[in-house]
Amino acid sequence: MKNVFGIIFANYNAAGFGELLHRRTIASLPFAGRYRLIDFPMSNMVNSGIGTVGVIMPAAYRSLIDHIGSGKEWNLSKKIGGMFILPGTVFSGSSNTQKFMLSDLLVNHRYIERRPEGTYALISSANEVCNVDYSEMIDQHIASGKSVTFAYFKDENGSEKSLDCFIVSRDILMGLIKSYPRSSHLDLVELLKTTYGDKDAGKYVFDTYVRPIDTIEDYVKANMELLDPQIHKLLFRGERAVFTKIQDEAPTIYNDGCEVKNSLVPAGCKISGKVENCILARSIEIEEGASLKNCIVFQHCIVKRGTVIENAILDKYVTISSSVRLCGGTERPLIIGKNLTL
Amino acid sequence: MSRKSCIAMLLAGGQGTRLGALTDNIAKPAVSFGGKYRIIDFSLSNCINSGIDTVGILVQYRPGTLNRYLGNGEAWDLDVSGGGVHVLSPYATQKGGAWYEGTADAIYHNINFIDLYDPENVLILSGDHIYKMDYARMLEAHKKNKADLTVSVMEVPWEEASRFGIMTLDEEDRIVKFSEKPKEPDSNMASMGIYIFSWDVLKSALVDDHLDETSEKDFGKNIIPKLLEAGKRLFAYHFDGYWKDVGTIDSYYNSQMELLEKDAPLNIFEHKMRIFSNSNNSPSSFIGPNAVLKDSLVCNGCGVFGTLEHSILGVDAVVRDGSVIKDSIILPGVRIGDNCRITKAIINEGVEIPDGSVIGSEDGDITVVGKSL
Repeated sequence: MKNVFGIIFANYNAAGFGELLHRRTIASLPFAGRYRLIDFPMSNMVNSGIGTVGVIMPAAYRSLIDHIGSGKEWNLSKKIGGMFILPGTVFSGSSNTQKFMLSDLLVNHRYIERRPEGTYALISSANEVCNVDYSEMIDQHIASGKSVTFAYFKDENGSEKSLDCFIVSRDILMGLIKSYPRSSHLDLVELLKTTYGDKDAGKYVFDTYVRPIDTIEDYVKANMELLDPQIHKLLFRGERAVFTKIQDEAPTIYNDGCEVKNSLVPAGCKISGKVENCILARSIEIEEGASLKNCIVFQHCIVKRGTVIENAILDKYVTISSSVRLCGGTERPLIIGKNLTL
Repeated sequence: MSRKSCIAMLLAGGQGTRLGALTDNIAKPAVSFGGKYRIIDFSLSNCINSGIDTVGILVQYRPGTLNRYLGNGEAWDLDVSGGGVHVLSPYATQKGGAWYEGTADAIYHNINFIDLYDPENVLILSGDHIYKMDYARMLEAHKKNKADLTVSVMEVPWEEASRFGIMTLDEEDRIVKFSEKPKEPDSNMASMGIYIFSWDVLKSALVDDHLDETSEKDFGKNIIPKLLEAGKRLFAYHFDGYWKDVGTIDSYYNSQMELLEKDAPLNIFEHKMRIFSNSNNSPSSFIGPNAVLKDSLVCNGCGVFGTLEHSILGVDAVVRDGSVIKDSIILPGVRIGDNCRITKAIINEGVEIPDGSVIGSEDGDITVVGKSL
């Protein structure tokens, strides 16, 4: 067990996702069919031997709590440490896009102060798709004696970008909380950078697949990249599992006459139609003669016979009735909001 | 703790020799079924779906995989305080130890365990049946009849009746005669091996039977006939749903192939009486650019790059390019290389099939591949 406890900021949102983030935060945005974005930092922390993880809640927390529950699926429902649901501040409304506000730590100073499980805090955002082990970064930080170590990754062009993840000692966090008791708008990262500068701030670069999801384009791209078997393997079939909420669905049935190509399909679907380059979620029904191409489909959608859909994202519980044609742009997909029946 | 109305005792110790290579290393109840389930999932799910939260599981033959799979029972919501899943293996006492000699003997050796819960009734189950059943309704009938024993029965075709334990009933469904595999059956009501006993009646019957040196210590052969003879109140409970004993390769194969039928007799998709399992943490399956899928079930974690026709692909199984799988059951974790042809076969868990292998044929018997070639 590491001398580290985790804090995941899940109380900010992203703009430009339309109805997808109307009633959920980006942390609970479905990804890769079975997952939600928060699964990545949660699993990464657990896989790195961190047994105590606090999750700062957004204002609209229903979907997030529904997903993470008691933390059981991440082995965080336990007596020593475990998962802690932490409040966010009033500024974390659904339109807030600012991460790492000091005010969110102010209201949680007791969680930080009294954690017997660690003297360091690993702090992460909740919108990066990656499967990483923080152990080396933690070891490097402790050995370096620096005040804070920020994580970076190399993007597709090889340039270094911030991973929105850093490690800092509890004492430093408590010091900041005590120094700025009323400065709720302050950005924790800015504060750490200005206080400790370049000299006392370390850097750790993850050289693996990382995709921050800040825009709808990022989201579509990261989903579709999973259709590259190498990337899929890197994220989901390596040494470290990505944990998510268990649903106990039956296997997916592929009926006679279906045509499924180059797609990710979890359990619980019934497929009789055509599916190409799609990322499906659980419990989806695609009827005979329906055709889906380049789509991301969330749980419990029904696509009826004769329907043709291209470049679209269907939120949960969408039903598309017979013989409709829907087509979005390749760059900007058509987004069909939750519970809609067309 | 208040007295429990009913706890279940699940007989999971049998070797299942008729399943051949599939039970070389694991107990029959732990054998994979339908891609993501194990046979025991059906009985365990029935328990929790019927409101029974305490299950003793009697193990004996190669229990490793089964024990690991059961864990603390969490996968079936059976991780409860004051109950839950308990694995009961044979044990030693001051007088030495003994294996469970028969179904009744296994329960006899766990009288102390059952007494810890002090239940009014005990439900005896087999770990090798595929069905969905609400035991609460059977328990209701048991109580209404003020029965000492209620046996779940189903109607079987007359010509098959001589293969079963047959119950002859009066007009109130009271059992008047029990014949084990009768040559000339006078009833076609077959016992399903599911019993609800009033615990005090069962307990004294087990103690008596234990002292009887001629007894085979079996519920069907010894306990039930003795209770009948003693004039106890034995009733039948009629079940008309889907029920299959998957003790042979043929029945194991056929009952899974039935899952592929339109309007399959056993509905694994409906959430009513859902079947839970402990095999859910694999990512979505990857369906490759040249995959062909027809009439097939595919679980999580699979990779399908070849052709799958009228087959079941278990959790984390992979079918590489150019391979054609037809009328087959591929158990979890199997890797099938490039350009294989697999027809009417059962491939055991974790087996690796090298490129270009040809296994099974359409006309022949079912081929079982137990180990990697």
